[in-house]
Amino acid sequence: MIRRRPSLVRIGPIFALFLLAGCPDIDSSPPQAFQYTEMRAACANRDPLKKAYFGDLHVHTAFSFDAWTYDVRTTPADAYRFARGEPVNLPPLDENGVGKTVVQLDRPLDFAAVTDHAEYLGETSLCSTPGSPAYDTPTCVAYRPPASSFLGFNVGADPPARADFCQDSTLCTDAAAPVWKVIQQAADEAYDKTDACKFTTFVAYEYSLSPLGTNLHRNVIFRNANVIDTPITTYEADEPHKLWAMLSTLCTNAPTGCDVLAIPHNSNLSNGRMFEVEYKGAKTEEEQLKITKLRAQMEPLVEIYQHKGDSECLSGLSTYPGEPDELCSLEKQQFPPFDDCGVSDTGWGGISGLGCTSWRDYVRGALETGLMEGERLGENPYKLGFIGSTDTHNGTPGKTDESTYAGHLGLADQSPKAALSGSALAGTPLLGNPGGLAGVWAEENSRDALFDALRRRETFATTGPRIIPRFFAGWNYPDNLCDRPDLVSKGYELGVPMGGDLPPMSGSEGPSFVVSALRDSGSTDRPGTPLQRAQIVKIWLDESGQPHEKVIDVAGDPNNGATVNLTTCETQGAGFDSLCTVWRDPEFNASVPSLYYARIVENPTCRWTTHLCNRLTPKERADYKCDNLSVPSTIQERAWTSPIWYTPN
Amino acid sequence: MLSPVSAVRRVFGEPLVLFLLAGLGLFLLHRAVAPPRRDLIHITVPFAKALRDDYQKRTGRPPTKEDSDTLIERFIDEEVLYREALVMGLDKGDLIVRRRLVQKMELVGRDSVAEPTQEELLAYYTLHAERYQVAPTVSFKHVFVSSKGNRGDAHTTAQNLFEQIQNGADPSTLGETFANGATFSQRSEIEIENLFGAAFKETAFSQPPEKWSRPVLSHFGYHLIWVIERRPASLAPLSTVQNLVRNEVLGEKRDAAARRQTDTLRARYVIQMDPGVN
Repeated sequence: MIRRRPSLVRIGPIFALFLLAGCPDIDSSPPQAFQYTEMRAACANRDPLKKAYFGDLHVHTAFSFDAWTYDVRTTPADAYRFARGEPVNLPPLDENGVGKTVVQLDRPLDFAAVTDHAEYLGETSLCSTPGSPAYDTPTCVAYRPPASSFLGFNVGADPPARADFCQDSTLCTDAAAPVWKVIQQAADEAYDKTDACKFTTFVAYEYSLSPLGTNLHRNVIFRNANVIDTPITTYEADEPHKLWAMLSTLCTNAPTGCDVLAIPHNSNLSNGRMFEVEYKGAKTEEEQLKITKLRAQMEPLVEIYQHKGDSECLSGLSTYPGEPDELCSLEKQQFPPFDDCGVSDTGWGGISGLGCTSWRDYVRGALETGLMEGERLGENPYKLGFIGSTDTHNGTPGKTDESTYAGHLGLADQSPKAALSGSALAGTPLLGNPGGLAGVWAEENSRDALFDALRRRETFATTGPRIIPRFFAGWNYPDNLCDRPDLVSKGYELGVPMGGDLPPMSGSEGPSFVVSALRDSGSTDRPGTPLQRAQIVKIWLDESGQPHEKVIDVAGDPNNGATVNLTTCETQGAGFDSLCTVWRDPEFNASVPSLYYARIVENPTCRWTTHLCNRLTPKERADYKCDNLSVPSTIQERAWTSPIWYTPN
Repeated sequence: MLSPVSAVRRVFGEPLVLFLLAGLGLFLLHRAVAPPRRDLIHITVPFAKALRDDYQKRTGRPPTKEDSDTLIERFIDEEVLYREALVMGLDKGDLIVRRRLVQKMELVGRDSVAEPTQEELLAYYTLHAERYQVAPTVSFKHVFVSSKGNRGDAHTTAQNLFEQIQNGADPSTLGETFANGATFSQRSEIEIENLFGAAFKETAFSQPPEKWSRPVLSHFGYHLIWVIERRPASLAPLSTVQNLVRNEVLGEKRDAAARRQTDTLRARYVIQMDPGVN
């Protein structure tokens, strides 16, 4: 139960309806779905049938302990300006400490959240602010150039340990408090509260739990400006369920108008622990159910794609329950023969490429686990919608294009040499990528509209392009829906959108699914790429409770022969500007749980490494082994819609 | 025999009495204004509560009795050491303390600024009107025909739909669904160009309102466009940009106040620079 402060601007929605009266919609209007929980002008630009908004919910700035050591000096306010289309300055720094590399988006974003690592906010501030009580300690001296080492911050220590200069930790938590205020202020100032609704921000942070280098990170996103006094970090909550419990006590159940969700990311580096089923400390099924419900409430989404790779699926796992899916080879961090955890084992050290890889590290495995747990407990802990984001550490939200990618880690991966050869300090930049975007279907571009959409999972992820996918499921869609102008209103009227639950079965036939997608239109300088095909991924349990996967091509043409010239990166061959189909599942079994999501795939284009190598001199290309890189030369960019679930009665 | 009045006069005329009275006065004054005794550390109930509240904020749970005792004991230890350090002059000549105090003074200067008045906001807004310009926008609806890989066919279909509309067909029943919606409100030129391409933008910003356009090519196929309304570039009303203006005025006032404070304080000092320092 989410408590909300009563709407401060009840007049807002009425005002908006009044404005819309001048712009009659062709389609009929469902009832208004949300209320403002904050003071703002009502958006002039409101569509009851929803529009796709693109944003980035994973952005680091100089306030993150690691970013600062890469000479990144972008502040949260700078990052929001960048998202709105203004330039920022990246390293190398000049003698005044200002970056000399200027970067800019060719298309502004609709929304963004700066998510600096909440751990070490205080430490970073203390070590980078001359005159601070810790500035001259050996740990801080080592933190700054030339050593630029955050080793003294005890990152990843298990149990969590503070940097030595924090003493009993009050020094560091005290220093974090004003930084948290600055983060809130930057979000407030960049948020467009006028009726133009051009840009939305969220107050947010990253909870960076990494015991022994296993990634259990979450981005914590607040609905509005009513946030908690200090971020809950691994020092207060050394296990994820403690984070949910504290967020529940201090935010959603507090009488402050606070509302929040947490979005796990990089389960691909979690050694089977991000979506485990151990329920630490919960001995009885009743206790497990309690944690499951809390988790489902707090974590409705997963970040499926970002600069540290794809987390959808991995081929070659011994537990992989379906036919090989060649499109799973996208941006991988693990290569055969990797250490396979098997069905129930877990490991440690995923961020450093250590420990075993589990089928649950990938979202398909998590979704399957969710169905299985749903059968066992009666509540599915992993009913996850999808978003993508960048995880940039340059304060450059939405800078996702392959052609101009110049790293995400400041100096650490900026030069061609660093990017192509990798360095121990920053992992392996060669395996990194420009990251993806979060897509949200919302009535308007305001915090409440977007946050409600995140909570109901009406979201999609992309690998960077602004592909626009609709996905609906129902029992009674007309087969000719794609040839009609009212697909969207019929989509809502006769079924549910992405992220939803199929209503109880009606009729004797299986559910039908509507996929309608537009290609990325691109910008004037950088045209988008045509689509190749649309697929539906089906996941279900059989009668004995074992999981299965199937990928079905439902529209487009996988054999359209489209190619890309690796020397010029020009694309050749046909593709689709839009795709649309109504597909009915011929193998539907009403007695077992299942879920379906759509995957929209572009024609192949050059990977960033190919673009970069093409810009180099022949000597540089030879020096950096451009002809023999251990990564693919091309990429098939794509979008994933959130799934739609079917649960038997 | 002295009259009582003259006796009083005489007593108060005595230097010794005057001396004692002056002493009493000084003593009372001292009692009134002197700091509490140097060796007293007074823990009040509200102060202890503040310590506990702070703990709860940090950890998300209220302190136990034991935690609470530790908090108070630790505060007392720190207070004793802090006071003794001041007595020993340990704050003098310490670079970190010096910088910290300088920062605090700068903050004192910045925080001395009052909330800007409406007149100040209006003045700033008028002076910097170019910052609050709103780009021209268009609101429109459209009928969409997807290219399905063959733009020639799509153009023929769209042209056919255009003629049907001219002959009285209901446009809301024609064409295909455009996944991102049939109506767009108050979009700028750059937004339209990014969403649909240059040709579409040209038409949307030149087509007479309330009239169907002929087929226009976009990245996705052909569109018939009905412009509902176009708004020219305008100055955003102060009420809608109030917050932006306030932040900018406040920022400028704070910078100025910090500078002013330093200048005022500097005026109290005599700066002596030896030859050759520059």
